[in-house]
Amino acid sequence: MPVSPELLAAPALLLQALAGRGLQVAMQAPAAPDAAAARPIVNATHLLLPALDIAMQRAAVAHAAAHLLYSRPAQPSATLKPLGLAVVGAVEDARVELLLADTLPGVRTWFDAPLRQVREPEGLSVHALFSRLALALHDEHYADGNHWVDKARTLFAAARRENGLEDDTAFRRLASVLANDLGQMRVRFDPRLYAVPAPYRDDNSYLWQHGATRETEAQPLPSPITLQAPPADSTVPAIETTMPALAYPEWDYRSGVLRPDWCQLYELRPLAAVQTAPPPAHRPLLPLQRVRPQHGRRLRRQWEGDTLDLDAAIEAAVERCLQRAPTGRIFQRPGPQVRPLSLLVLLDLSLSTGERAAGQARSLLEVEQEAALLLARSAQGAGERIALHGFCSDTRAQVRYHRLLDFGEPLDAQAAARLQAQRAAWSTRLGTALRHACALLAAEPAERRALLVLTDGAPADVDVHDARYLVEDARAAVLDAARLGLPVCGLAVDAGAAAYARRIFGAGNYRIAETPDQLPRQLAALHARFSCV
Amino acid sequence: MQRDLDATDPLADYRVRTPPYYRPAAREVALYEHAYAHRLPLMLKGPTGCGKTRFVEYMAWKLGRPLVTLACNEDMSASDLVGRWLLDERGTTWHDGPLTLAVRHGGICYLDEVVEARQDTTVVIHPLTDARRMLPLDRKGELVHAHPDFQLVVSYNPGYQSRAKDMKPSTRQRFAALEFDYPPEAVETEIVAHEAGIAPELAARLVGIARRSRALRERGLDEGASTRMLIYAGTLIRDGVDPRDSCDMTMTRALTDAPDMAAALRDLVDASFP
Repeated sequence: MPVSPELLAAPALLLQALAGRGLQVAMQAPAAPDAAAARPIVNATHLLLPALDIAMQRAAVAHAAAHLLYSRPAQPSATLKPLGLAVVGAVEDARVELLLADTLPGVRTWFDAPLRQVREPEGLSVHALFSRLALALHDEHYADGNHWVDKARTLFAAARRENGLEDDTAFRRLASVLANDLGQMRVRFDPRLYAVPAPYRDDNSYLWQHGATRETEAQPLPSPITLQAPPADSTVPAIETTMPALAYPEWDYRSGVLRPDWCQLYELRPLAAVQTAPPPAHRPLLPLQRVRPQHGRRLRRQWEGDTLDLDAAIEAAVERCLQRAPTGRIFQRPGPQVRPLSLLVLLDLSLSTGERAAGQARSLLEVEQEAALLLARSAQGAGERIALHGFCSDTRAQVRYHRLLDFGEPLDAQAAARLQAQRAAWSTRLGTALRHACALLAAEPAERRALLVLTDGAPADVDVHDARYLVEDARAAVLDAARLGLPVCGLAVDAGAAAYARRIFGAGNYRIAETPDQLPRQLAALHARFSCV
Repeated sequence: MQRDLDATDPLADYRVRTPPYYRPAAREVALYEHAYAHRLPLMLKGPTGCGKTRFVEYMAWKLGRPLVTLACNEDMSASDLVGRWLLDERGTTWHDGPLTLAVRHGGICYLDEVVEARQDTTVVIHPLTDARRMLPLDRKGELVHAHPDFQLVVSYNPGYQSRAKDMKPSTRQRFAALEFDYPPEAVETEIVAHEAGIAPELAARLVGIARRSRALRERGLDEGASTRMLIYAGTLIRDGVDPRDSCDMTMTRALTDAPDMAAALRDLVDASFP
């Protein structure tokens, strides 16, 4: 499984704000040492950044936004030589930056410093000339002294005066004049070693067509769909379907669309466990915070309230008849009420949870099951409504959803056995399971509802090869849930979970248990978050 | 003359004396007038700070009706709307609540953010919002028939409401609805320049920031910067506060606690000022 490149949230948000259009912003893999210096890359879905400091990163985002707003993407490059492409690119960079600075004048200073920093004052190498060309087009007061650079500045200013910056044809024309001049000057140009001088500017591959064809988007589900019986040697217990397949959409972050009816979810109810697991040893219940609803409690003898406190009012009247100063506390009003909570706990039942880590006596699934049982006991003991559901997936055609304990169901020996009979299998298509869990939770009448996801790793499935795809889908599902007023929290038992857990659940809405042993305590801590009003 | 009138007018305090500034964005003024002509209950929908409350004030002034405004909240009870018994030296006396005042004396009652009130509270408006137009005060044993000038207006923000806090269908289908959004760019610029007392160029810059921040609504920001925020920002800038500090205070910090989002908004503000 390839490591998902680090996603950068703040630059992505800035790009969305500046360009009104979202791209994923991610770090590039480190370049080979002998290659040309790495520059940002813009394509239809991504802005890939090399290692840059914060100020340079901000300039790179603004520059990319300028291209997205004002450049024509994927122009045919057939008739242009590499040197011509570089000159057209340099002129285009300057043009779109000036256009952006017209509406957002603050970005001018973002570009200014790096352009001055990389200027090579001497020399006639292509790098030196281009570094000064960039500054000359950026700053009309910059006088270079080199004939070619000054000519570029004069032509650029003239084109800008005559036609404005919006129309790029005049600028294409002047770029070809400049490229021609460079050819005459016999400047050596090696496209393999050339990189735009300013590190924040992208390589302009966005501008040119490379002849690649777009992959087809629509891939119908293989049909007819048959729910495969698990192989005989599988440890998955016998199952019965209780419902026909449900179709759920899936978010495709690359194209920014919600693919309708993309995943099939089967809701399964495990048959009673064949062999009942030994009853769990007695353990102290989780130290859940007990904030109990106090229904019908009214605060009496208040200074103000909805209704008179009859006893107090009569006493006051008596006091007055006795010519004594009555107390004014004669009202009653409802006391603050803690509204009851409905909590749905979604367990990851994928194969990886069944593995025993080195030095651990029990698999994560076993710890998960035990912690979930404890949580359910404590919550039910405290008068809360709790449901335990689990999921695993085998491609988008088959997401399995197990309702192990439903809302309002007593946690008897049968339910406990059902939970403990679950065996780890298959993969983690979290987004689809989340959507289904939300649909179930939304039907709960309680005013306060919440969803808690217990998982051991980033979402993954065998038919998805882009590690980020299912993370983004799960995030979309979490955001949808939040819009419905269903907060989703995550608990990941994975020391390296910070990046994807934060991406999926949002800052502050997840906890990470480094090892399974920490799971019960983290679970209690998360539960406390919901219990406090 | 005015003084004499005031002495007999229980809603004198609720009259809108000075014309409020309101810049219409579409045909909402004419539509409201038609609705009022038939005393239809109205629901104003729209995001926070886009001018719903100002619009009601303006219409109350234009129609010459007193305006009784109530900001709804979760702890609001039916007594807070209709009134309650209070004790004084002579015994108990009934005090009309704001809604009863408007119903009795012919005002426009405006329930701001009505979904914030509990659903069992909002049902007291049901008999007022159909052909009966009456308000039973069961605690007092009185049935108040609405004054001919009375109208009920409620507002709510569909953007961030949870499903738990939605209006009951039986409540919402009693209202005619007007939908509000942030005004078009040019209009919003005009409003911000007028209200904050700043130059149109500066107002346009602020509006640019707001429009771009609204593009982040789906990406972790509950709501973008509102017109009201822009007016706050402009007011501080007019006072001599640095534009970046002003926007940081009135927009970035007010909109988000998330560090990534705050960084992006701060850069957006930085990009927008020379």
